[in-house]
Amino acid sequence: MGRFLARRLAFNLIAVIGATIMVFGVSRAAGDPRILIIGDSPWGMTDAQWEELGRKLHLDKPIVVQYSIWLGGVLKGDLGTSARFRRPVAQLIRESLPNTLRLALAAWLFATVVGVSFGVLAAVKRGTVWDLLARGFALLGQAIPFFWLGLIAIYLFSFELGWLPPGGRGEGTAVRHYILPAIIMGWFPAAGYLRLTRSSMLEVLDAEYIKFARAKGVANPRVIWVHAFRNALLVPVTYSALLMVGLATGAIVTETVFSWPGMGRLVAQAAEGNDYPLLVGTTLVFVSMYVTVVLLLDLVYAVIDPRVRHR
Amino acid sequence: MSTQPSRVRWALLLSIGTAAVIFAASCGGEEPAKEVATSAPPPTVTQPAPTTAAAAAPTATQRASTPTQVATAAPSPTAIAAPSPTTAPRKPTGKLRVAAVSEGVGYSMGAAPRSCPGGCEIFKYNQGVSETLLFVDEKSELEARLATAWTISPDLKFIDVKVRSGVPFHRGFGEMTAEDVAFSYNDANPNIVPESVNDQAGEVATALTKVEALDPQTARFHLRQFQVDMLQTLFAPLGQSVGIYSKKAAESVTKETNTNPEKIVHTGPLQYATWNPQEKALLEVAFGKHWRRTPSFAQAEILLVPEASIRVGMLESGQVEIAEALAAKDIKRVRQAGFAVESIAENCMTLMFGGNYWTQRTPDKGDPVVAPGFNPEIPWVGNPKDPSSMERARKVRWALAMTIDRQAIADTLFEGLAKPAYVECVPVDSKDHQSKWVVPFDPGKAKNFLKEAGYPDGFKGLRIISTAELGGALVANWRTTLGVELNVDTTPGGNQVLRARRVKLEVNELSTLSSPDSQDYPLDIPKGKGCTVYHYGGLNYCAALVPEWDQYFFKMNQELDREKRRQLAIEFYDFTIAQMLRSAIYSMPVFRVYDQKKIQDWRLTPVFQWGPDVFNIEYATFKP
Repeated sequence: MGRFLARRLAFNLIAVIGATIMVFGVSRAAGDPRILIIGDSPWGMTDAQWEELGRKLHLDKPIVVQYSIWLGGVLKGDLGTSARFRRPVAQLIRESLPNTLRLALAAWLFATVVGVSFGVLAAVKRGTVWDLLARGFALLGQAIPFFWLGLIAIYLFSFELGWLPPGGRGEGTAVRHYILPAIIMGWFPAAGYLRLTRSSMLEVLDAEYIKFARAKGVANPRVIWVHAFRNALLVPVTYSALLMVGLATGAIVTETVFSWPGMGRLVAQAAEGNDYPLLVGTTLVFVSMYVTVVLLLDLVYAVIDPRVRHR
Repeated sequence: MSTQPSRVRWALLLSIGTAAVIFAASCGGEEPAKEVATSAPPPTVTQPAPTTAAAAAPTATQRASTPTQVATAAPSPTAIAAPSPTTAPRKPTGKLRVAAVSEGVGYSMGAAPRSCPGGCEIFKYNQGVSETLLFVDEKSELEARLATAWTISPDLKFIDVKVRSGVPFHRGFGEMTAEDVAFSYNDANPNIVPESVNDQAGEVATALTKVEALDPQTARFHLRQFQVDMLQTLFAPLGQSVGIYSKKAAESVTKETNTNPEKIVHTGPLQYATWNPQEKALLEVAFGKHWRRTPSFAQAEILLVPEASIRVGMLESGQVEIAEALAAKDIKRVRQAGFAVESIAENCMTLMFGGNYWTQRTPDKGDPVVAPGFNPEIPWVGNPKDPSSMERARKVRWALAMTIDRQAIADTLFEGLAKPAYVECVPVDSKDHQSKWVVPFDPGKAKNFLKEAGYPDGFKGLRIISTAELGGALVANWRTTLGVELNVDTTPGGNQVLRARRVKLEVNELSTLSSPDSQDYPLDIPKGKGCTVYHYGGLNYCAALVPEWDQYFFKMNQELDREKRRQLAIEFYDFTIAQMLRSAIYSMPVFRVYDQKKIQDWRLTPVFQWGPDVFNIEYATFKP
């Protein structure tokens, strides 16, 4: 187990270092960072200021040295200063990440509850109109671009019906502000849940022990929820861990459409304004989140299934 | 015994554990903004509080008149009427909400002049947090603010300003004196504080050497260069200007506290309660009774809403009372829905022919002008040492300008809200516009010009930096009519590279943008500031340096007779059109949009062209 852990940690460390090299390389390849710092300034810089800023940013040193200095800062929690906002990137991320996680959690809850329950329904009522409706729900969720869906939802529920607010986070945990973005964001993964749960349930419902349970006279709800569902849950639950981090890192479009003050919108603003320090910082955070979740999943699998440790 | 149930248990535990961690993490971060009760006592109304009558809206492009003359003998102070303090008709109550674009909130703020970039400075005085020395009223005349009088020395070397007494700073930082005025301007001035990021428009650095306090109520502004419009641009918010800071508060600001709202201390009727550039700024009434204007609302919430359609939705659904920067297609819709839509400024979009760096030496000191990007091989760039090159380039510029269908662009791209424009920026429907400035849409003649210039089949391989819509419209016309093929660069980075290279005078692309001259109407305002060697070392908007422009600008700047300045402006435009060094395309109003069922009236005064739509917020009379 120790060797497995060490191997996994090493691979993940290589992945993270590789990611840092890539984001640093891309940020430098995009051009002189001094140009970004000029930003919207109509005054620009004098030659002397240009040179001084170059020295301050260590641009006069070899690229490998620049990378080392930058990486050293990152390890100390210094992700640089946003060219647009002129504030520490780490601070901006600290302010935005909780908003994204809240929204991601709401979307995850929607996706899980709706996707799993519809999946079970579709499996149990296979071939009926319920199955058709559930699969139609899944198809739409995976086919319709969610930025378009978001705008249509805003038009219908905010403009026309006036039921829900069109955007923003509201005060505190204003539930009304979460409803539309959570549904829009959660529909696509709900479709995935639905399909996974449905196929898992169908497989389990055909198992011998289920037939035996029915033959024993066990009530149908108990057969479905106690015997079948528990055994069909492994794959969707595994999917849910990756889904959660996927929602947190992929909220760019939803947050932009709904003016949600989270990481996604921060990334969109950074990309729009060529704010490379912010882009680099947010990318690193996303990569770290993914790598951490994948590592945790690997560890859990290793605990559950000893064969994994010895591969 | 099957191991599946224990695997399921592990998987369930993992999911629950992950969800718990995420839930705990998501509970962190910023505390929701709490309602901040105004702790100040109710205002004492000392005189009948007039509802500020909605004055006839000033001409959108009109700026304040410049002084007609300067005292030539013993100067006596020019005093101007102080505004009567106005208070909303009841105790401040309720929360006024604004859906703003990112510049209104999602911008770097700073508690000290040196660390407050230009945009930050503008937003603070537009949001009623800081105040400037002077103001410009509905009739485009100067109005007293923190200054009550001024004296310009006969030799134009300094201006003495009388500072208003009895004006308190926020949060108990004492009363404003001339020391605070001197500190505010000096700390913003990169001549004195090289690391200052405040003076992005370059107006403080080029105009002032330093400011000193002669006594507690008198500040002396030592001038590097007198400018006839400096009272409007440097002392009043028609230029970037400087809001007055508490010296005591600003000097205690550190890098860590620079963006702390409680450290942002000024004299305005509002102060920051909270400020999160990712989300919103919450302003609260700062004084029980402000010397100038006590707002009608207890708080103002300015929400960052980058998407225009969401801003419209928020306005229509009642989530906000004011929505900033709506798209042209939404203006008609909200007007029909009964919301107030008022024109507050006019922007001219102009085609700049980058690369004509003709000025060899600066006119004041004779220093050589270095333009590493100068390339007379570019079709629209002329070599001043070769008359035939100059004529060739002039014809190319005319050909391109004559193939722009300005009326069609104004009609189709902006829902009929824009107008064609020819000079930047004299509105075509103003009395000052002259028919000789009109550039005809004449593709046939344009083609002849191009042929005479030596490009019978057009040319290609060059760039225009513009928006997708406008650049696309221009390029399509040029391609089909003249055979000129240009690539449209729409990337935001393209604009930033342009800015950087304009500092180094390397630009020789075409570009479309709105330069400082866009708001320099009426005619007596000096022309060409942002496109002369005067701005060299800063951004040169036209990416061109033309000796005649330098001369016109310097002459206008020193000419105190208004009518003579108007004549010089007409000559300036005549020259610019004849040489076709830049060509305006359209002018488009900037609108402010609000719910007039909730906002009874709102004082409308000339606004800085590039400022936010939301200004004078303290004068909005709000019905909660």
